[in-house]
Amino acid sequence: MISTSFPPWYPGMLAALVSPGYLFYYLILLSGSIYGYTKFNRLSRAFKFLVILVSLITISETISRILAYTITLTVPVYHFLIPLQIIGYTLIFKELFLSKNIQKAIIGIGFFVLITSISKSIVSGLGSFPSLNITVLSLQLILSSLYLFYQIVQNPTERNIFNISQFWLAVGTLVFYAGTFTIFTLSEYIILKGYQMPEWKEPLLTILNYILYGSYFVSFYLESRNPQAEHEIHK
Amino acid sequence: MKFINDIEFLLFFGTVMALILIAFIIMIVILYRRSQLKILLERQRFQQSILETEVEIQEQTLHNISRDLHDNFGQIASLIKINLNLLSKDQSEIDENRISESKDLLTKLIGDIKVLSSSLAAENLAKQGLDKRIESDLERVRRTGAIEVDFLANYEDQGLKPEETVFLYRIFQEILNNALKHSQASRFEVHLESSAAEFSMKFTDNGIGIKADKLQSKNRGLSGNGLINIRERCEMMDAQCIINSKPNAGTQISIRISKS
Repeated sequence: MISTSFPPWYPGMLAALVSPGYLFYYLILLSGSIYGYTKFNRLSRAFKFLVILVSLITISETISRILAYTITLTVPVYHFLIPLQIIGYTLIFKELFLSKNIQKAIIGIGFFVLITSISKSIVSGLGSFPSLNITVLSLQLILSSLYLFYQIVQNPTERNIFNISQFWLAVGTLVFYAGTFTIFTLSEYIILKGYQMPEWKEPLLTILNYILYGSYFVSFYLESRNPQAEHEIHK
Repeated sequence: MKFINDIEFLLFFGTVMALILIAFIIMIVILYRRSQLKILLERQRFQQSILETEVEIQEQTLHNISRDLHDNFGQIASLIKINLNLLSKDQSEIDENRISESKDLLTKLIGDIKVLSSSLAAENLAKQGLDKRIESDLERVRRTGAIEVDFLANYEDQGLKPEETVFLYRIFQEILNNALKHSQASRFEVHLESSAAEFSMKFTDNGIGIKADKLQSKNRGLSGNGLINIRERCEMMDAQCIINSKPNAGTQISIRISKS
């Protein structure tokens, strides 16, 4: 559906495909992936996984747009994307965490979340929105990013915190998934009460996406500039 | 507080959540800064203790050399002099002259060993007084005629700790050594000044100056550790060290230390 509230400069052809907000989000994702691949060899393992994950999300968003204009249903894509996200984030945080026990714990949590997500998709079918899958993924990532913050504080370097790639990864992940978790929980409540879904839900999710992938872009940039220094202190 | 409906409550709840999130990130930044400061302090303390150990080892080595010079070389030189005195008088005139010349050289050698031994040993420095020791060293340099020396001391009571006195004396030795070996100066001035609150030493020479790269270098190289030694000792005493030098315009070094 074409929104009549698009700015006058926005091309009509493009408006038929995507909204300006979505286009901006897609460009952030695409530029993050491209930038990540150009600096791929300079990144640590965790950030290499993150680049791969961001590029998978870019591909899934492309497919979802195609599906939106062919079968007018984007939901199935997310049923495939979320398990990939669970595996990807588990590998990323496993690489970032220093404690062997925490690494084992994150693998255990990741496995549990993955089983829950796949089971839910099988039970509910690919046609329903995977809100529970997103909620459990959010919980996993909120816990992981909180622990990453704890680890950053416990292992300070001489660098300013804003110049540490892991800080931006944790900020983006925490803000996005805490926000998503709250929004989806509230949505469930609103639906349960029979209210109309508030208009701000979609724009808010879009803004959270900007924050998430914007932060990842910053973290790729910082990590590619000085990947060694950060790991020397941590290892 | 009464909410008009559930939606307003949800909006309020969402805003509170967002604010908590922002507050949490700010808290992380503050905690990280604190953690950084703590580590920085620990690192400084560690470096300080390394420096102190280094200086302690240096002082112990100098003390051992000083004792060996005094007890061993000094004694041997004295014994040689006694033996020369015990030689029979029926020598040829040429041999008599040679013996007399050797005795003079030995007297000079014994004197030099004593001076060197006392300049290396720091134990009596505080008792003797920094000014007296510096003056005596400068007097020895003046006698050699290698450089014109000017000494001005303007204080009554130094009020310095014994270890500070040793450090200041070692700094003086380093600067004097630099002036004699590297500066190509024809004049060297030392000015000691003391007030109730602080003590200062100023050294000026009219030599070729110190190269900018050496002056700014913080790394120990194969040569030129003198400036680093001076700076490290000043750092350990919490003293201010200012070194001004330009090519062919001499060098001025000023050391200031607060009296505790």
